[in-house]
Amino acid sequence: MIPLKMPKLGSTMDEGTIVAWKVMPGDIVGAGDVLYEVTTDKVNMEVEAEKSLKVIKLLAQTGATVAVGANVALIETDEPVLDLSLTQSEEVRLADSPSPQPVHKEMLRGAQTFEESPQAVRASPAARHLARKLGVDLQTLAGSGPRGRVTPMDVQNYHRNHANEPLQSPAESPPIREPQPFMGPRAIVAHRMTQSAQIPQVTLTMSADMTSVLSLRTQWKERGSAVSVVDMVLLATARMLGEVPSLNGWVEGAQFVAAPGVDLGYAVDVPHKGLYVVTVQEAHALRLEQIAQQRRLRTDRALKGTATLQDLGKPSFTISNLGPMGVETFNPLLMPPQVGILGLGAIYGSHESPRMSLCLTFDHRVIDGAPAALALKRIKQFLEMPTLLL
Amino acid sequence: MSEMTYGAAIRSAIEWEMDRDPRVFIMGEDIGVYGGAFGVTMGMVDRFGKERVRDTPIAEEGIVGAGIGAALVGMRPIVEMQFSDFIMNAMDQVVNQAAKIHFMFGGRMSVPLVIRGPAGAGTGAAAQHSQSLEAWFHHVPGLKVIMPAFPDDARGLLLSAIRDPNPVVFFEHKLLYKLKGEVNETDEGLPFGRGIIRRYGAHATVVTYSLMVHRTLEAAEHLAKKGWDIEIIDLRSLVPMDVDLVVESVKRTGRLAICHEAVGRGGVGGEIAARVLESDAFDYLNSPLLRISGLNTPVPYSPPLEQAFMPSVDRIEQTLEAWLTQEVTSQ
Repeated sequence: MIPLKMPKLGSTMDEGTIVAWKVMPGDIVGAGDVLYEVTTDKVNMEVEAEKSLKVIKLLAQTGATVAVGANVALIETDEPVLDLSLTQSEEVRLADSPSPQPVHKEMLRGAQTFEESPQAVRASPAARHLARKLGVDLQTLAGSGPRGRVTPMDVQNYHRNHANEPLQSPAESPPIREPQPFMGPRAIVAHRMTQSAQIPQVTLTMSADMTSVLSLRTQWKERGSAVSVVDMVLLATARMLGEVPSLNGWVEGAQFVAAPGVDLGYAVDVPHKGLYVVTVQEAHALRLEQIAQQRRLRTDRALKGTATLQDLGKPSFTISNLGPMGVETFNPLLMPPQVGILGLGAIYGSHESPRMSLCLTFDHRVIDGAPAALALKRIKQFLEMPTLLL
Repeated sequence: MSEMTYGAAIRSAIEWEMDRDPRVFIMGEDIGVYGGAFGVTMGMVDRFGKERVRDTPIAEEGIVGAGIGAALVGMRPIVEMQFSDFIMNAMDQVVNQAAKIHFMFGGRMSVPLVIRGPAGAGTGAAAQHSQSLEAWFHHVPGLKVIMPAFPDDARGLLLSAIRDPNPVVFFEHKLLYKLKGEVNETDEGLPFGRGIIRRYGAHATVVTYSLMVHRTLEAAEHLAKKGWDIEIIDLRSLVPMDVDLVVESVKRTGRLAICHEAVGRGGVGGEIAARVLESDAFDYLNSPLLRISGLNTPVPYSPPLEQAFMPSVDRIEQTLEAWLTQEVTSQ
């Protein structure tokens, strides 16, 4: 009997929430059969058996959020097992994993005692006490103390970040103002935004004359192409990022890693589900129409709930557009580990001179105010004189 | 208030009680004309006479046995062991008689006896004159064990010991006899079972007593310059022990260290640790505990080795610092 672990299904995936189990203890399934559905980083995915196996016990309940590499079930199999949680490659698919490694004897022996005693957790008595009080499962925590000990601070942080996940005991009849737990995408947004709040970030606002852009939009429309103002901002931003690599990338650990290309994230509000970011891949190499097409396609899929991992991608910069809601200016928060995000406001001003606010937030650890201002000014120039984009 | 040494404070307590209560007397080796090996009873024989300041033969079992007998017939004897190590000769009297009689006579008899003795190393007196044996007595039901660190505590606790209806073992540290401090020469004894926080701190609680209180305080001052904030509890009385004070402190600091000169194995530190682990302070612990104690060896005669045996200010400081660095900063 061996544990089945939560695989790493995307580069930014730290944990996954089990949406539904498709198997029961005792089931024998073949390779490729769906074991469970998991929601990770905003996509729902089906996790398949990579080989025939027998399900012994489900360890993670439906609705449980499980860290990558943590055990979700106990299985029996005659075939060797590959520990997917350890692989680094992106978008690993369970079914077509390469050359499986043999199971180590130690691993099997460890697994044998697993059922009787759930894995011992290194935690200080104070941390255990706090975890009991807050209803935090120590098994899900990574300790930051000496020798990996879970400290009260770890429990506190975990509790804060996962504050409103489903509680263990179901409420009998929810009273009207029952606090709603953060679930699924909401929990992810909460987590990412909390991370973001720890970054020293500054927002610069600049307004651009939109006369040329609006006139261009009309011309495209007259020729039957639906190119929006946003698409033109995406194009202008992609060009700017080609010139300012220090806004196009990610902070990894204590260093900035410039992205090889411009993958532009575009924030989409999916009603009842929350904030999704779709990615226009390789935007620096695309023409306006191609950008518009990709953005529309991926946005539609996000709205329908059929977004794939590729639709979400790994943006190197994000654009958030609150213009359609009438917001004129706002402070977008960075989406870590990215170092820049551009907020778009509504078009305002007279019909003769329409204007729009461009709100650029940047990670001050990576870039300073002056170069960021120049970058913002570059977008403004592109929008005011679209011929510069040619 | 007057300033006096620890030794003088002990003499003050004995004289106070001998003035006040004719039943009180003292016996021991060389305590009369000679004034005691450490001068505690200096001049007392002239004041109170040989009947009440009695020189005895070198026979500890006899001294303690006579003390028990006197106590049983209504006296309030104080017996001095010239070195507390020598009490080993009188163990049957202490453990099987003094500690038991009250219980074996159905509570109708009691033994109001004080056994005093200088404990501890640091004087180059070698293995048979340098031990800290408090754990032995601490283990025996029916005995109270007192180990003061300051002159005023020594006087107040000795007054209470003499007035206590049961046997009290009172350990004085040899290196403290010359220590000076303010002492209030009043009739008020200091109740047993009350520790005192000598220094408030946030990072860890160090429970200690006797000479080690002073060394821990000094180490804590050094550590404070490095940013470590240590709380120090002076137990003063081991039986009864102020567990509540320790528990309350550990709940605030989340960390427990214990420092005593006696060897660690089977020492009082283990009992303190157990009492904390049994209490609700358990739920407040952030780290494994730490014991700083004498090394597991007979006290060496060689002065450098003797110094190495005892927890020094340096050793206490370094051990605490290493522990705190490991346990606090990596969080």
